[in-house]
Amino acid sequence: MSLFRTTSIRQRLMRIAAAVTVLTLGIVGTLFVVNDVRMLRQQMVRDLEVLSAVVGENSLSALVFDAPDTADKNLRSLRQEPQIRWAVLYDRAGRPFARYVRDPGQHPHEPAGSGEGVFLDVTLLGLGSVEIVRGLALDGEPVGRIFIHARTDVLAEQLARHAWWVGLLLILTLAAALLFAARLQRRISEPILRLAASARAVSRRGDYSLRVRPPESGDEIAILIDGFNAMLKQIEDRTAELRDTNAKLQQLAREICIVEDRERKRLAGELHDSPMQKLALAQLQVASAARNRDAESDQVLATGLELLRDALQELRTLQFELSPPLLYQEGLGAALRWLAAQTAQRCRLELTFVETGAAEPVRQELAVVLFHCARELVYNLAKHSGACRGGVELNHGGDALRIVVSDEGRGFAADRVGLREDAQGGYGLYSVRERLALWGGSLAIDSDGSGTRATIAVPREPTGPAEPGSAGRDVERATAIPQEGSA
Amino acid sequence: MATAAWGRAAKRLVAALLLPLGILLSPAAPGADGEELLPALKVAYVYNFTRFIRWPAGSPDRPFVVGVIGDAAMAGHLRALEREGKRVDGRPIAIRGFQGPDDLEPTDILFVGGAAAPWLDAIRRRTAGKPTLLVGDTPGFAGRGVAIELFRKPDIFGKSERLRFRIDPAALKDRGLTVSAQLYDVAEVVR
Repeated sequence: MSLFRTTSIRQRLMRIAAAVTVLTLGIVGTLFVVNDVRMLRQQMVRDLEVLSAVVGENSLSALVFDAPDTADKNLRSLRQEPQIRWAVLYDRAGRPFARYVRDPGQHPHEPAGSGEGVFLDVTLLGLGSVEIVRGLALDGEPVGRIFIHARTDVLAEQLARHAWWVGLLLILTLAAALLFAARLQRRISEPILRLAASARAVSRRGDYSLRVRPPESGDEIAILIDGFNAMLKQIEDRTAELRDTNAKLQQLAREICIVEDRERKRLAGELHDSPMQKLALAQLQVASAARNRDAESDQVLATGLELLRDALQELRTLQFELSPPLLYQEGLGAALRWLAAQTAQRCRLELTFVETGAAEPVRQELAVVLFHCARELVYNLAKHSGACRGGVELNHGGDALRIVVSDEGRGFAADRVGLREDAQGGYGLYSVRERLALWGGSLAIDSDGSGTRATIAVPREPTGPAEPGSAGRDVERATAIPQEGSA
Repeated sequence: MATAAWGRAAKRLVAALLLPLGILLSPAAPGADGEELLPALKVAYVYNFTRFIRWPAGSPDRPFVVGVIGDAAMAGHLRALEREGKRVDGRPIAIRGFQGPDDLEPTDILFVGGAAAPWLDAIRRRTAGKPTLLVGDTPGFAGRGVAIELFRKPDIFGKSERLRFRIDPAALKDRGLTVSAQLYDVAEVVR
C-alpha cells in the first residue's frame, strides 16, 4: 500500500490498469496453456489408442499365422511417430512375438500388470510417458496384445511454445493496455488533478474566487467538483460577510471610543460648570468671611478652606483624567508629561517623561486612545509593579509612534497576565490591545524579574476612519475648565 | 537337426494357434513330436482362413461345409473342428470326405490332398464359379487351381521351420470370395 501513498492518481490508475491486465492475461494464459496441454495429452492418448488399434488389428493375421516378420514390419510403421519409444506385440500366451525399439540403446520394460488400458505418468510440465496396453482378439477370441510406450516430450515442447506465446501476448497486450490506459485515464485523473491544484491554490493564497471547470460528464467527479465550487462560493460569501461585519464592528468600536471621550468631556464640562464653580465661589466667600474672624473661627475656616481646596484639586484631577485639556490644547506629549508628573506626585514615585524624535501632530481621536492606553499602563505600573522608579517615553521616530512605559519593579508573566478580562471586571491589557488593534497598533510587553517594558506602537498613518472636528468642538469647552489657581 | 528344430517351433506355434480352438497341446507332452503336431497345425490354419475370408451370405441354417478329398487322414483331423462346435459366421462347421471328383458336393472349403493330384483339373472344373476355397498342402498345387497352398519354410538361420502358405489370386477369381489384405500380408502370393 505504501506504493500508492506517495503517487499521484494518474500513476495509480496506470498501475491498476497494468496490474489488472497482467492478472487477467496471466489467468487466461495459464488456463489456456493448461487446457491446451490437457487437450494435447488427450489427443496424444487418442492417437496412441488409434495407432495401437490399427497396428494391433493389422497384426492379427501375423499372430494367427505365426508371421513375426510381418508383425515386425507392422510395428516398424510406428517409426513415423517420434514420441513412440517402443512397442511390443505379445502372443496369446503372453510371450513377446514382435518388437520395435526406436532407440536401440533402450530396453523396453514389461507393461505394468496384465491389465489393459492407458497408463499416464506425466508431470505438470508435460514430461513423462504414456503407455497403452490393448488386447487383440479375433472373432471375440483373444490372440495377443500390443504394448506401446510413448514419451510426452512433445507435450513439454508444446507447453514451452505456448508459454512463450502467452508471454509475448502478455507483453504486447500490456503495452497496448498501458497505451490505452494512458489516454483513457485522463478522463478520470485530469478533473481530479485540476481539483487538487485548485484546492492547493485556495489553501496557499486564500483566494476563494477560484473555480474548477467541471467535466462534461455528469459522473461522481463532476458532482464532486460542483460541490467543491459550491463550497468555495459559500466560503467566499461568508468571508465577504465576515469582512463586512468586522469593518462594521471596527467602525462601531471607534465610534464608541469617540462617544466615550465625548462623554468624558461632557462630564468634565459638567464638573467645571456646576460643582467646581460653586466650590470656587464657596472658597471665595469663606475666604471673605475669614477676613473678620476670631481665633476659633480662624481655625475652622482654615480647616474648611483646606478641605475645599483639596476637593477642588481632586475634582480637577478627575476632570483631567477623564479628559485632560492639555491633550486637546498642547497635544499628546504634554498630556503624557502631565500624566507622569501627576502619577509621580500622587503615588510618590520617581516617574520621568521623555519625548524623542521630531514631534508631528497626531490625530486627536488617536491621541485620545493613546493617552488612555498609556494611562492604563502607568496605573498598572503604580499599582502592581512595586517599583520606586519608572519612566514614560514618547517616540516620534521611524514609521511608527511609540509610547514606552517602563519600570524597575518585580515584573510579571506577560503572556499569562492581563491579556483577557481581569478579575476586577476591567479590560486591562486586553482592552489596551483591542483598542490599539482598531488603529492598526500593537502592545508589546517585555517583563522579567528586573522590571517591565511595555511598548505601544501605532503606524504613522493608522487605518480607520475618523470624524474630523468631532473632538475639536470639545476642545473649546475643555479649555474653559479653570486651572488650579486660575479660578 | 532341422526336424528337431521344427518340432520345437511347431510345438510353440501349435500351442498358440490351437488355444482358440480349445485344443490344448502341451509342448512338453511325452512323445510329442513336431511331425505329429503338423496336421493339427494345418487344421488350425484352415479354421483361421475362415476368419480372413468372407464367403457370400448363405443360409444360416446350412452348415459351413469343409470337404476333404485325397487325404482321409486330414479329414479325420478336421473333424476336431466339428467336435469342438466351431462356427463360421454363426454356422456350425461340418466335415465331408469325398472319394473322387464325381462325389463332390458343394462345399465352402475343399481341402485337396496329395492323392487328389490326378483329379485336380476335374476338381477345378467342378468347383469353377462356386464360392469354394480350394486349400492344399501339396507343392505346386497353388499354380494349378488351388487357391491356398500350405508349405513348410525354414527360417533364415535354418534352425527351425514354420508352416507358411501361398495364395494364388487367379484361383480365387470369379468365386465370390473376399480375402482380407492381412492374409496376403502373411502369405506368399503366386504371380
